[in-house]
Amino acid sequence: MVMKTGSEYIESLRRLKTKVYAFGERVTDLVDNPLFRPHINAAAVTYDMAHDPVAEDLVTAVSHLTGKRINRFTHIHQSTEDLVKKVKMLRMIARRTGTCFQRCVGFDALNALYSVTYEMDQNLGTNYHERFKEYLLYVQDTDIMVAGSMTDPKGDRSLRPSQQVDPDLYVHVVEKNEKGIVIRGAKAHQTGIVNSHEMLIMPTTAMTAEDAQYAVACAIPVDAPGVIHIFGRQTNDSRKNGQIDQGNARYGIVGGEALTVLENVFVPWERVFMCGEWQFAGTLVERFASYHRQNYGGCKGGVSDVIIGATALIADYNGVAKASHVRDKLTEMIHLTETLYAGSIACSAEGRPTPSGAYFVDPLLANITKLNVTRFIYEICRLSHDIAGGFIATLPSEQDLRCPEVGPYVEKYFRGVASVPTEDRIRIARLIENMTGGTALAESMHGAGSPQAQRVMIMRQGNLEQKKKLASILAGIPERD
Amino acid sequence: MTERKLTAGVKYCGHCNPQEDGPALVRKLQSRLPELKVVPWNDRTYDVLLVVSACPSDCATRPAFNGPRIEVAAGEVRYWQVPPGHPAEHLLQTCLEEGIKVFRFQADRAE
Repeated sequence: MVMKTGSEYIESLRRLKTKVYAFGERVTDLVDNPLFRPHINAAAVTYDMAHDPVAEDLVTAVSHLTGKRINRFTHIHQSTEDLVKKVKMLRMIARRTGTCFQRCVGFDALNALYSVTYEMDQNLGTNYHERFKEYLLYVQDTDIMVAGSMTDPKGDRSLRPSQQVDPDLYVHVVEKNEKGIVIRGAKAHQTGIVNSHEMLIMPTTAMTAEDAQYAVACAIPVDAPGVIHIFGRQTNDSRKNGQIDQGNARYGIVGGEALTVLENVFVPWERVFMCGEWQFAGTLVERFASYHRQNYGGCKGGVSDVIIGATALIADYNGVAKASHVRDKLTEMIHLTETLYAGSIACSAEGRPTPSGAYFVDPLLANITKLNVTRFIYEICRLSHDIAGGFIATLPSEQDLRCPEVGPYVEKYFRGVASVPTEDRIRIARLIENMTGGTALAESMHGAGSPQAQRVMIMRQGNLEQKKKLASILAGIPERD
Repeated sequence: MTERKLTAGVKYCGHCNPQEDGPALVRKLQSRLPELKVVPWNDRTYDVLLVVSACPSDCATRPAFNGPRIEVAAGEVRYWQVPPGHPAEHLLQTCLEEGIKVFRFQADRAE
């Protein structure tokens, strides 16, 4: 059992035959291609931090299966302390990368399937849990990166999976035989999948008996025959020349998402963890979603720490750091960030064991946290834009800064306070632009589920009837049958 | 008098949102105590375990260690008299002289 380093992780990707398309072409140099490398670098941090003496307390854990030290991203939560450490780990890594490092999705998929396969077996007499534990041992032993694959394209949202005109709009089983199953369909918005080793597929919604063929959970290599990844565009993805205009050239923005097409992909039975048990599809979705929504006050808290730092620096560079309204806005940004973090810590501290022994977050508080992210990150970014000024959107390019003819003008007219080099001011402006707009903002809205998905779960768990009762008692309304 | 080189195993909390720079603090101790050798906590060949938390929540995991343990965090100062000649004496004294808040000192399993 070896915990990989970042370099070992990156080298391991070279051995895969992942079929990736971008801009209409097959990608043959994924690891060294500047379109992907920043996302790979970000994921590599999750490996390197396990070996960093300052960070390892958060990024490693002891496997409950083997008693050996493993990367926390492959761990099954055994306590509320584990849940809290997960959040702290995410914040710590996000402060280093300033962006998504992708590995939490598979982490959450592992935890969701661990407990739900146990409950399925207890209720239906299936034998998925032991099979899943074998897979988990493999993941922990090899320290691979697993992509969590939940979101189906969904087609007509008013129709159930089995009612769609095109049956492939939800991943489904098209064949079963002695050796395994064959699946078909696609998974959308797949974070980090092109630089993962395996994908852990789950259903995307609650199912009915008619949808049984869509109730499928399984693991496959990302380079399995029939798997095709079509990489999504991002803001600034045409700015790969130079460094400054990318803002965060080393780690990029968000996670690097793809549409992953599953064209009749074979899955051996030992990697199938749900096949037709539609009764548990909804439970699996809710469990995964709650684990994933738990994360957002951690990672977005860390990302916001960087945005706050960048905004405070640009205020310094602009000579407005002492203005009371600037200090007030920075205070508000800190307040919003720590409120997000508090939600993630709270849903973790209020976690509880599932029948499998694995710990689960408080789902109400986890959904509250993610719903806050859909608003607070926008406000944090709005305040950052307010303080930074419009030049973050109108700056000339890095090539212009370097150009002998016009570079001196850029240098002269984009200077703020005299003591700070113009290039420093431009670099921070580009970092703010990169972190606060475009793809990064939309990710805060829809990552881990769109706001309405959180509202549905909040209303379901909000105990409205009890609240009515409280009001009735105080108002002196007698209890009636 | 030349003393045997004191070895401290260091365990950090993870520094998710540090109020203090733990590695800088350890470097400071090393500069004050040239005879101090610092190794990671999982080396298991040290005289003193130094647990460094970077904020008052003091959440660093405490590794099993049957020797003196000094825990520093941005919190209250709580420590016990160190017997003269005790392996942790100089290190603890230096922490206190440097104004490093010692959260707890535990000598040889006896608080």
